[in-house]
Amino acid sequence: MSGEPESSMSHPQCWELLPWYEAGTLETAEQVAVEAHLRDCLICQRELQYLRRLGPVLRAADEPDVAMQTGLSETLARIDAAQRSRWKRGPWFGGWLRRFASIFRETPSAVRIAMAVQLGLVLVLGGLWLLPIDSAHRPAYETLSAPASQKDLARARLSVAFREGTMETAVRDLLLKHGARVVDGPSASGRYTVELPIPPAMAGPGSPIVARLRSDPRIIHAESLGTVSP
Amino acid sequence: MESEAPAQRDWPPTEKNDAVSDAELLIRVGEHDRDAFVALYTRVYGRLHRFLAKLVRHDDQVEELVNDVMMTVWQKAPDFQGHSRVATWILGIAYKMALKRLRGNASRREDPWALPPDVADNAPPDKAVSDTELRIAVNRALAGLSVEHRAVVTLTFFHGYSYGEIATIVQCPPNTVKTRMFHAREQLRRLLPRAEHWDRLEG
Repeated sequence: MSGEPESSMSHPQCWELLPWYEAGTLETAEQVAVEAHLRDCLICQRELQYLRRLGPVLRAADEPDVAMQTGLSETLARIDAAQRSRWKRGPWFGGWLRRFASIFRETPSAVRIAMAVQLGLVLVLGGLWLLPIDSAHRPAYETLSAPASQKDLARARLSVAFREGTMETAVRDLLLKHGARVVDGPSASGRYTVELPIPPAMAGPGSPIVARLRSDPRIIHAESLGTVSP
Repeated sequence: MESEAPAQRDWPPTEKNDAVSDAELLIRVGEHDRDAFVALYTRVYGRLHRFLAKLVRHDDQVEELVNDVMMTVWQKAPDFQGHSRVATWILGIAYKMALKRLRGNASRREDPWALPPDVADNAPPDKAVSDTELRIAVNRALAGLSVEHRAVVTLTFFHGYSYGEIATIVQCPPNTVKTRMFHAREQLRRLLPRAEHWDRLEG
């Protein structure tokens, strides 16, 4: 009889399991179900007969156990080399890394991705926080009355006369270029009193500030009136 | 009717035949005990070599692969969780590394999965065959299977593993193992001499 037998296992299911039934490696419940099917299924009985002849034929072609070659000593040499490298790295580091890798491997992939993203964010934010801030680019606190950057500098006071016909925009550019401001003038002779910040080293008579102003073609007269303390 | 219980085999993987179990040895290997590693290597060498020899048809690569697998065992022993038998775990590593090696061979235009010309071109002889002829025919037929199918046949018939354990080794669902065996049986039936010509071997 080759029709569907009255057992809990269908014909295709039994057919699939026959190699492991032949090899004796089925679980007891499956073995019982296969046997129940076999009682009524001629096709599966014939296939089992075939497998019982095929099994020994296959096994006869198995490789004989080979004698160990030099592989063990080679592998031990590799292990020694790996251990030397591990000690160089530091014993605590390798163990910690391995434990972390083991935990990471067992974590579901979705959680792994989330962890990786979080770690990336932490690294980026940490890196930004650790970045040294250039003090030259740090915005300084300044009051309205006295810029902090100029607060500690002495100011040179000079008498200056501009070349006749110099435009107001040129005068403004000149003052801005030197950080100067007009504090008095013009006098009857057309002189202005200006102050500009100078480093302490440049204060005093013979200051190069005067020479610098005199070299400007828009200025016909520059004379030091001394310094004003901060 | 064939319904008697299958006979006990003498080839199933041994786990506790020796005084120290494989699992105990592996735990010690995980603690970098060299003596335990030598004992484990000696114990699994034959089985591992036979398995890899059936998967990788390059004899010169088998010994090298055995060593690579055992090196990985040394490195990964602390990760062993005990969810499977030690032999199953080691053969799983071996299967994965063999696949990788075979894919490397394939990329170098060596195709170990290609059906040998004498199998592809000629039908099996329709006459009685000698023991030697039959063994050669079996090896050629196995070589004609894909490595995935060959692994399932080898683990079932040569190593005595259940389909569940095979699923663990080759890392696929049990139903996939059954399907691979189904197709492997069909191919073997086609590639081997007809069963009535096997009498000399069995006799």
